[in-house]
Amino acid sequence: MIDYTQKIPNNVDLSGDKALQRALEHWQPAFLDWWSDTGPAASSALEVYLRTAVSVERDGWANFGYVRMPDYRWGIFLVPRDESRTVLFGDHKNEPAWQEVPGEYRSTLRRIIVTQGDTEPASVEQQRLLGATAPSMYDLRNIFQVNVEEGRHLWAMVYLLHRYFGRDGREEAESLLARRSGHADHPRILTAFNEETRHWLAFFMFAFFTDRDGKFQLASLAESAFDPLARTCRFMLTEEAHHLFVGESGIARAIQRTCEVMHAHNVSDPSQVRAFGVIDLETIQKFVNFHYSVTLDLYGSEVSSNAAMYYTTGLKGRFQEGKLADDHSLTGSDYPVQEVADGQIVVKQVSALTALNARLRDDYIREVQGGLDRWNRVPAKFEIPFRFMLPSIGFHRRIGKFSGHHITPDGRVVTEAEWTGRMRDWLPDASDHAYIESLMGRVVEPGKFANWIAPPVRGINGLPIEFEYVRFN
Amino acid sequence: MSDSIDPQKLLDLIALKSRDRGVATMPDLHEACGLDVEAMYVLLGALVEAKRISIEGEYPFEQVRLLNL
Repeated sequence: MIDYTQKIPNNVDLSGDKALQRALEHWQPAFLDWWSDTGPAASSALEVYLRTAVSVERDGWANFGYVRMPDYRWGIFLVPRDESRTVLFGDHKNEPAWQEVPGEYRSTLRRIIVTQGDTEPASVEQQRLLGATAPSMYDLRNIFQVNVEEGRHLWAMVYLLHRYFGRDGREEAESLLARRSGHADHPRILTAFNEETRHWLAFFMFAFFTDRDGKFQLASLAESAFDPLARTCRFMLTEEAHHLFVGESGIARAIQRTCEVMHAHNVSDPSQVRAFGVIDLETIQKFVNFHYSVTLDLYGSEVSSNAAMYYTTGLKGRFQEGKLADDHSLTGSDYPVQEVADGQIVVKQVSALTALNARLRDDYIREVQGGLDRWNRVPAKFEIPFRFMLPSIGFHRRIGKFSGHHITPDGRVVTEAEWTGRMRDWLPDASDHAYIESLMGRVVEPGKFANWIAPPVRGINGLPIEFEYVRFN
Repeated sequence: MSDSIDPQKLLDLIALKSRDRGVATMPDLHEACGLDVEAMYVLLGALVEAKRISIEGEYPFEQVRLLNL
């Protein structure tokens, strides 16, 4: 169980390591300053009906109650250690999982943890202003829940840095609070985490597409030979799962509302649909195209010697490594990777070891497609012929084999002139953002919802929709 | 992991979350167990097949009812 009597709640016996405890208690006020500066704007006095982790066991991990967010008990939670756990893959396969960082992997592992850790505060910063345009009190509470848990995920990575990486780790932990999303001089590490989240459609898309990349990265790290990292990521995944649900259900509710209007008024032209103050399906598709393609870039180059090294050294596994039936070393195996050759997308077999980024990305794509299939049930039930589609894997890419090519959503390699001429048909432009932003009036009366999004069937934790999920006092 | 859960634990959660109204919602279940959306649908589908639950309403507003109580 988690010890909430400590200044920093934890289940890692922090009080048994006084030097570490002091170091983290020194970092804690800096974290709270960061939260005050860059966390949800104008929120410090609000009482929010939040879920707090009370156990790392799934059958009893959630406790609900009102919390002022600066008083949220951010802590350090790892799933229990399995004494018999062994490394599943790579050169160290079948050896006992590591409880300390091997010296030869120290800098690489630190970099992996810093890169993952950097994404957690970044998303909080990106979403800082969205409380001002919440479509409902229900949704406002949900984004705050996501924000505090992303803050806790930062704590999870900072614990590892402090506990296992000495002075270097402490300095990296300071830097995690110093960088800022979108800052000209001190940006976050990954490009997608420097993009602005301008409105709630972008937030829901981010939670569906980009948080899901986070899930796949965490799932790979949950296979790591470095056991404390694996155990940390396993608990983070349970919280991340809810964030993905917030994203998927948010978009589904927007689609639902649009389809209700289209059906009730027998309209389908986007301009006619927009006249009723909802988001036309074509514009939602453009946001799918944007967020999907930007997120694919987060997987890095399809063919990567770094990815191969992470695997062979046991630092980072494949998605659900333990469920895969092969030799878990991948030497001599191939994997199909797409690239552009002779003006078209072709498939090439490459070493499975160097293609691990592509493989993880392909696992991600399969799951995303499942989400789109569920969204498509909504227009189908209204007998509206529109269906959402994922664009080509090469569409709008800045990193990897498709970078520098102009590829349409249906996978045609085209000239720059054609791309430029058609781009606004495929990606949201300034007028699309302006339209979405025009819908974003704040609705925070209990039980009321903005016109562009359908209410859920019931509220949170079995409570009615009309429940006061956020007290403004 | 977020990709699996003991089916009995999910049934226990459905019982807990549906105690007042007879049905549990998807947000209730997701917040209570930390299971992935995909994994949740797979498991709920298996429980429907096993006639342990029924699903009422349509996506994204499904509600889950325990059977044979």
